[in-house]
Order: sequence, then C-alpha cells, then structure tokens
Amino acid sequence: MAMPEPRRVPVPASGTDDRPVLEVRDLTVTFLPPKRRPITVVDGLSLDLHAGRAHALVGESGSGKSVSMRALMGLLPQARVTGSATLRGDAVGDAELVGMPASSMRSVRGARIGMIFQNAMDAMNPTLTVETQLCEPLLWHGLCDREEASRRAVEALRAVGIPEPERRVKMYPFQLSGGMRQRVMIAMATIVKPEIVIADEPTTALDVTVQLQILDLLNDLKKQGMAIVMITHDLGVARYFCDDISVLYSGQIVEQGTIDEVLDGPLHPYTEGLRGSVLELGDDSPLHTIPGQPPDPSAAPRGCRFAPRCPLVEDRCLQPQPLIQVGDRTARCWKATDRG
Amino acid sequence: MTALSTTDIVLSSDTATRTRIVSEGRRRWLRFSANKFAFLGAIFCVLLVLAAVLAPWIAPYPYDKVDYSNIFAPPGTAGHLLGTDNLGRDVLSRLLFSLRTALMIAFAAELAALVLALAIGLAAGYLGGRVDQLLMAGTDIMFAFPSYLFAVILVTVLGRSDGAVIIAIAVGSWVNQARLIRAQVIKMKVQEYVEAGRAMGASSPTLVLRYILPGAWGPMLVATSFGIPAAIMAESGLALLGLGVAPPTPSWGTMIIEGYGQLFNAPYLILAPLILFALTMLAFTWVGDGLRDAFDVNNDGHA
Repeated sequence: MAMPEPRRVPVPASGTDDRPVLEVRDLTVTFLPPKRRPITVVDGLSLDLHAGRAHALVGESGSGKSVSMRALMGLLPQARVTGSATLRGDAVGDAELVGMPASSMRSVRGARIGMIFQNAMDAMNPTLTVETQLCEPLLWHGLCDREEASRRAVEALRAVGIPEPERRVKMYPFQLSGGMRQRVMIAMATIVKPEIVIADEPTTALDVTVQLQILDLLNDLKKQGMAIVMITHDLGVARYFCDDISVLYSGQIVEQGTIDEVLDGPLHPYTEGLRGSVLELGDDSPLHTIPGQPPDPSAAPRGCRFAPRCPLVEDRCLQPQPLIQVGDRTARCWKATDRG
Repeated sequence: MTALSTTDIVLSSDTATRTRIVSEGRRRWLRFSANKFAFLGAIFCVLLVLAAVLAPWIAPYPYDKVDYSNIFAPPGTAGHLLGTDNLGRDVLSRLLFSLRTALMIAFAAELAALVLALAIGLAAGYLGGRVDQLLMAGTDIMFAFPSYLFAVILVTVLGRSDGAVIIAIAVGSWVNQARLIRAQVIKMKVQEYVEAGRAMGASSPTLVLRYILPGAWGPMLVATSFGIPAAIMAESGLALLGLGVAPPTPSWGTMIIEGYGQLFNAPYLILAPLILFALTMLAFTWVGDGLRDAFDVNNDGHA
C-alpha cells in the first residue's frame, strides 16, 4: 500500500533513562490440548518495548503474533507460558508478568497494558453503552468515581476525534459507524493511560482513508509516551507507523531491528520474501509470492523452519538455527553475517 | 395490494431504512407483536395474571364459602355465574382462586428453578474443566430421573404445603434450564468482547454478569416462558393425585377431580376448570412460541 512519507519519532535522547518499558525474554507459549501432544506456538520470543516507540510484530496468520501478546496479558489461561516479561515500574518496582497470579494480573490488564482489537464491533459489549464501557475500566481499577469517569469518557471520545461526544457517549456500539467504533475502541484501551498499548491489527478491518486517521490517532498516543505494539501483516502500515520490527515465522522471531534497516536491507530470506509480496501503486514489477506454506506448529522442522520454502536453502540449514547478532539487529539465518 | 403506487414504494423503502437502524430489542418486539397468536396470548396472560392477583377482590365469594341451601346451582343462576358445586361453593370464585394458586406456584417454582439453573449453568459453563464435568454429571442424573416421580416423592416426604409443591416442581424443571444456560455461556465466553473486557481488567464476576449473561437472557426467557405452563401442568397433576396444595386452597387439579365425581350430574363442574386450564396453557405456550421466534432460538432453546 502506498503511504505518505513516514514520520519518525527520534530514538529517545541518550541521558534519559532508556530502559525498556517491557523486556520480554525467551517467551514460549505451549498449548496443552487434552490427550494430544503439546503444541509450541511461540518459541523463545524476546523483544524490548520503549516508551514513545512503536514495535511492529509482522508475520503470517498463525505465526504467533497475537498469541504471544495475549500470553503476556495473561489471556491464555489454558496455555503454558514460560520465559520472562519484565514490566518496568519506576514507582512500584518491576513486575514479572509471566507466572503472575491472576489477581495481580487483573490490575495490570487495562491499567498498565491496554489492548486494541482488530474488529471493534466484535470487541465491544453490544449490551452496554459507550459510556459504560469507557467508564468501567476506570472504576474497576479504582482510578476515580463515577461522575469523574463519565466526564473522562466524554473527554476520551473528544480526544479520539469523535464529533458530538456528549451525544455519542450515550449510544450503543451498533449505532456507530465502523471507523467511529474503532476510535471508541482506542479510547477504551487508552482511557486509563496505560504505559503499553497492544494494537492487534487495528486497521485491517477499515477503509483505507479511515486507516490513516486511526494511524494518526495511534501516533498521538506514541507522542504521549506510550509504547505501542502493532500486530499487523501489512508492511506498509508497519513502515508508516512503527520504529522497530520483529518478523515472526512459525512462532519464532526470524528478524528483528529498526524498521528502516530491516525493510531496506532484510537479512532473512523470509523478510525479503514478505517485502517482495507487498503491492505498490505505480509499480508494475511482478508481485512475488513465497511458495509453500508455513509448517504445522506441531510438526515444525528441526532445523531452520523456513528452510522448506527458502530459495537459498543449503545443507547446514537443516541444523537448528539460532538468532545471529548483526550490528544491533538479529536474524535467524546463517547467511545473515554474509549479507550484513 | 396488487398495484403498488409510487408513494407506497417510497414509503415502504423509507420504513425499511428506519427498521434497519432500530435496536435489537425493538426488532424483537416488532417480530413478537407481528405474531398474532403470541400477541393475543400475551394479552390473555396479562389478564390472567391480573385476575390472579386481584382474585380476593374480584371474586364474588370467598373460595371456601359453603352454602348448603344452594348446591349444584347450574351456571347462570343469579349471583353464581358459573354455578355452585356439591357444597354450594361458587365455581367462578373457586376458578379465580385456583388460577391464583396455579400462577403463584408456577412463577415461584420457575423463579426458584431459574436461580438454581443460573448458579449451576454459569459455574459449569464459565469455569469448565472438572467443575463442569461434576456439575453436568449431577445434572444428567437429574435429567434421567423422571421429574414427576421425583416431585411426588418430595411432596410425600415434605407434606402438602405450598412450599413443598414449589420445591417439588422447581427440582423437576431446573435441569433443562441449567443445560441451556451452560451451553449459552460456553458460546458467549469465547466472544471477542468478553476477551476485550478481560483485557481491560474486568474481574470474573463482572465478565459473567455483564458480558456473558446478557447474551443468554433471550434463550433463558424463552425456556422460562415454556417452563411456566409446564409448572402449571405439574401443579394440577400433583393436585389430581391428591398431592397438590392442601385443601381448602382450591386448585384446578382438585376441582377437576371433584368435578369428575359429578360428571353426569353437573358436567360444568369439570368443564369450567378444564377450559380455563386449557386456555391458560395455550396462552402461555403461544407467548413462548412468539418469544422463541423473536429471539431466533430453535426448539432446543439454543440461539
């Protein structure tokens, strides 16, 4: 998709504390279906989230983008989650999200980590008014009284650019248009001012014109200092909006770095393939697809998981493939050092 | 209706646009009231409830006022619109009080059944796993046990009081509702907005009561509306066996069994309770049908 020139947020100036807001190390998510072999759907994911920066999680369906983030928020009670995820708390001390008891997790969800869902219609309670849904997180987390919450609900709607917020706040989700619902969704996820916002394909279900407006809104949040995780499979959206990127393939990170570096000079053949399959207006060169399909997570290859589809596959690719550090980027490919 | 004028078409398309944006609740009401049987049934049910509530004031005589000087008065006798029975008691008054008994017991039993079904259905559906297996095993055993027999045993053990009859009927009718609520909860709890609610920090009780339960109201309402005639039937059935509410409180079942003894002598004694009983059952069933269609719920009660 053709997007206007991206606006970059500069890396926080050195001197300020640039410890990440969230440090994820070796996050592994395993589903334990009854009477069947466990299935590891996210395998050793590590990433850092910084205040005021957006991190793109890119990959095909089933690559583990959404699952990893849901696991972080403790939304997958049926899965086994290992590794660590440290939420920085300057005033209250750091908190470890993996293995956190459910009662503490509830005060993190919504309050410190907000989530924006892909389809606002499905993600809003059809039986409650916009006002109730906006106020409830504030009340659940004991941040203010009902009267103040109602006032903040109107403010939040105004902040996401909804005209006549006093009237719209009384409406039910079905009375709003798709773009408006997505704005309300953003207001819901951010009304408690979380440090981290996870946006799960926030623009996929929207018209292109509305997409840009929503991205601008998210950009405002970024400027306010929130750390944003953008789950997407649209490289155009990722490039327009994000500062860092992790490319996931079959539950593993195959490449990670700043977005310009990664998209301008991919080190992993999969990233290159993804980039080649992006449709651009005015570009008549043939569209590339990646042949084959991602492996079944219950039967992933022992070596590089991309090897069966890789155009550059060699014998050594059949050995287990670690992440390789190249400069300040990482890639899960033997050839990364040659290319970097 | 064969030739539609242009204005008709414009008007109808205008109505279509307007109905498209009406709320789900209003759409249900439109669908319900468009069903003539359901609508009539609903009006009749309202009248029945009013008559039952107002029975002590609108009944011409107390239900137990005996008048030996005026036994077996035929319907139409001055002062006794539907006649009198073998003790000279006014049949109309007894009918009204029987209605009161039937509705009171049916509503109380359905309410008790609903509370029990909610507790068990919500717990089983939401918590899943072991809790679900255990609760559903219990429910299935109850389901397999003939509920009428169970009710007979309960009333025999507890004695013939209003409370005992209510408990006996409630115990027989919560099973279906619990299974229904559980199925509905399992369906609703995977909705994205429930996960979104959890992601915003909602506690489990909040999720169950405000995010999951509202989606189950429709099927629950439908099941309850079918449960009421079933409970009326059960109450009369128990009374027929002499296990209903204790006399002299009148009940249709008692009236029918008393009328049976005078079948050839005074047929109106059995006809009057039978006809009102049948009409009541029909009205509640029609309302149930209308609600089921309005909520798009199929015969098993699943939306």
